[in-house]
Amino acid sequence: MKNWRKTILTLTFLGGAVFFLPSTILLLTGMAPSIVASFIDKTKERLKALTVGCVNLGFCFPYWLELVQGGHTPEKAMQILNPESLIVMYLGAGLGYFLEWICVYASVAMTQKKNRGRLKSIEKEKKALTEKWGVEVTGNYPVDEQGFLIKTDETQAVS
Amino acid sequence: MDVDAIQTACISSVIKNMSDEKAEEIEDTPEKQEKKSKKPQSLWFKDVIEIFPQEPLSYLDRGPAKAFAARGKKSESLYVLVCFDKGLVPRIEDTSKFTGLQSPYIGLLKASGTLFWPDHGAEVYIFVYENIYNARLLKNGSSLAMGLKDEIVKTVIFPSILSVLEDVRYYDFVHGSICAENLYFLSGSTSSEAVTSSDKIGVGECLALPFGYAQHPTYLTAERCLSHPAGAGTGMASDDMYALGATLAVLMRKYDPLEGLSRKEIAQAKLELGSFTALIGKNRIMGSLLELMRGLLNDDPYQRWDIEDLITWRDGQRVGVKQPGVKRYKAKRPITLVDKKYLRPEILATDMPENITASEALIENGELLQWMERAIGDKPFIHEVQKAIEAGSVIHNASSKTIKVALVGGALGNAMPLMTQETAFLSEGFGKLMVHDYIHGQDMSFHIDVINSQVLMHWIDNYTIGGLDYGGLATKLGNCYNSLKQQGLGYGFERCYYILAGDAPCLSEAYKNYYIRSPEDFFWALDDLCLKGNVPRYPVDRHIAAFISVRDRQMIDAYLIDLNSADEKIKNLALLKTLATLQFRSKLPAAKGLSAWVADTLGQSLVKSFHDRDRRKEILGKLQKLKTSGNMVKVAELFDNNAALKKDYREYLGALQNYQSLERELEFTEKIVAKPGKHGAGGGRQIAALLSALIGGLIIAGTLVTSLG
Repeated sequence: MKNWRKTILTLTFLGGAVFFLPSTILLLTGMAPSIVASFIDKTKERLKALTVGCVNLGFCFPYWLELVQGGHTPEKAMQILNPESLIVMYLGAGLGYFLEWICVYASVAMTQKKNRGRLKSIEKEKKALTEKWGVEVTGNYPVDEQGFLIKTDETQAVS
Repeated sequence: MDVDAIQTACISSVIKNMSDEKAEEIEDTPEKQEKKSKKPQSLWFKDVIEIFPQEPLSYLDRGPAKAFAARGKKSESLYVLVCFDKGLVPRIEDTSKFTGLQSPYIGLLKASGTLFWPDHGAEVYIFVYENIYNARLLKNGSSLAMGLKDEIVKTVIFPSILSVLEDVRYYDFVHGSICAENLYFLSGSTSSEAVTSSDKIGVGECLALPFGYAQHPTYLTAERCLSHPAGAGTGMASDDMYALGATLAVLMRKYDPLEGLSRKEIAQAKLELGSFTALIGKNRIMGSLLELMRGLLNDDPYQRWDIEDLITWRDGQRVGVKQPGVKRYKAKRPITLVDKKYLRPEILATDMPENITASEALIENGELLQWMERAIGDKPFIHEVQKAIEAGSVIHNASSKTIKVALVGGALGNAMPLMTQETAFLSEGFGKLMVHDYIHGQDMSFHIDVINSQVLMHWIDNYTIGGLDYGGLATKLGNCYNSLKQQGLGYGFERCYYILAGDAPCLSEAYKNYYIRSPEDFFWALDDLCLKGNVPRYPVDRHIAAFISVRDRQMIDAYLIDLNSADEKIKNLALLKTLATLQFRSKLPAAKGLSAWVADTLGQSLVKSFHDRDRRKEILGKLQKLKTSGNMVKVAELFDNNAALKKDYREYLGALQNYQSLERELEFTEKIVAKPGKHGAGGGRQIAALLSALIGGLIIAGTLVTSLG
């Protein structure tokens, strides 16, 4: 059932791509970095591909509008696809890549800082528990059925 | 059995006192004189009786119980008898009966109780009597033969004793100290040396010592002579009659035919010759008192005159003859035990404990039974001895040989004590003998064997004459036997002392300076020790626990299991609850020593019942506020709070879980911090996607606006 649906979608997409050939030529070329990103991104959410794709699309859109306003012909598409336009379109993709990298870097750094802070607060909490309930709360010393330390040399030293 | 040494010490202690006093005066050093001058001149008893410890009245001493002058609030002349020896249990149970005596020939009991005696450094039990006595009739050190004329005895001395005995009979108790040494010239007598017809003679007291302890063997039946003075039992009315007869003999005879003989030899002489012949010997006794003495000194307690017979005789009427109740056997041929020949089985019984091995051989090889069959021939008697041999054969402990020989000895006589080489006692005297032996440092293993073997049950069933509550004694012995099976606090051998000797004080070594007779006394003794800072390591030891449990089980039995706990917290809490129960049930006033001790010492251990350290501090704070209150109930409530303990435990479990989860989180977080990787990247990607969508959207929108605008 899923395969059948997938086949229909693929056929529909291919049909659409052929029908709208000039847009396909333009976008396929202009959004090549996004296509690459979708292959690179192995995550489930595919957020990297989305990040690169959104900015890339944004930078491709004026050219696509020009294509649509210029007749929407393959020749027009080829005419638009010059080095300057390609640089602009790929610049957008690059911006997407950079955005994704900077955001991930910042997020990881903040998480690391937060974890270090958490470590300190865990130690404080443990110390507070030990002060309130005694070393027996650590579970590291032998206790009787009521939870009190069983007298040994070790427990005598710490109690 | 060094009974004779004890007896000699009892009877001649007065001589020692008098000579000691003189010796002290001569040998007084300046230090001693200074010490004497610091001794209190008087002590107050119950705020109404003034006692003078520096004024001994040696003529009123009763063996180890010493007499001192005293004065009542209305300046009446009194004297006090001080029971210094804790091992000799006074007859406190008879105090209420003695108080009712009306005879003018005996000093009334004014008060009794415990008092701290400075010279002794401990509490003692005292009896305070009306002092109606001038001098002793029989001077110290004199021979037991006064040679008085029968007229004087009959008109001056005998009526006094009879008056006392009538009163004693009315109040249903036994005097137990009728003897020449306990007769006194009363106030109003014209002399204090030789008795004249115008003199008045009175009888001394009888409560300060166990029954028969201070009696010379002359005044005791043969069976009671054979027992240890502390194990002579509780006595019966017939013993008073016998003692009266012996007293009359001493008063009237000119020489003592038994002088110099040991306690056992006197008993043997009485068994061999009969008491009357043994006590009178070749003395010529004339007059009407002869018939009286024969009646009173009858060795058969069933035929012996009783108080009714005495009154009948006094009124000039003839006393009827009674049926004999006791058989005494004399064999046709002797039996030999260690080169000595015996014709009387009861005399053989007195020597058997001295020769256990030879006696056992006589029993085991059948020689004894053979001799009885051939030379005595009384089948029921032989059957009794057979029963005794069988009863002895089933006992298997360290003392089995001794007990077996003792059983056979009991069967050979009439109402004999249980005799061994070291000791001897009647069944009802076993309890007080145990107390005596324990206080005097004797080995108690034999006593334990006696209880474990239940030999006294056999004794009660077979070797007692009657007249006492043997059923009650059998129940007590059964309780002792069961108690020995349990070794926890409150049971064991210690419990046996207090079951069998109802008036015994607590024998705990930790409280040796206190005369503890009730759970309340223990409460105050411990309070006193707390105030002095001398609290024993185990305030409730085996003796205290057994003592309180026997005297009033509701005070302590509920806590015995916890008192036996190895956990200090549980044990200490049980101790605190015991003290609180004592104070509450007995409505005792504030005990500041105890509350201070709990606050400063016990509290530190008790508070560890709580896990929460903050709660511990809070409770210790409250405890400090109650330190001077003396209210043990309120103190106990701080710790004996089940709801608070449960809550504490629940919260502790929660804290335990909390700690464990923190540990897990710590471990996980440390790993991430050590190798961050892409941890936290997901959020960044989402933000990047959002931003890029925003940028893309803005560009598209801007483019559209520009192109359409």
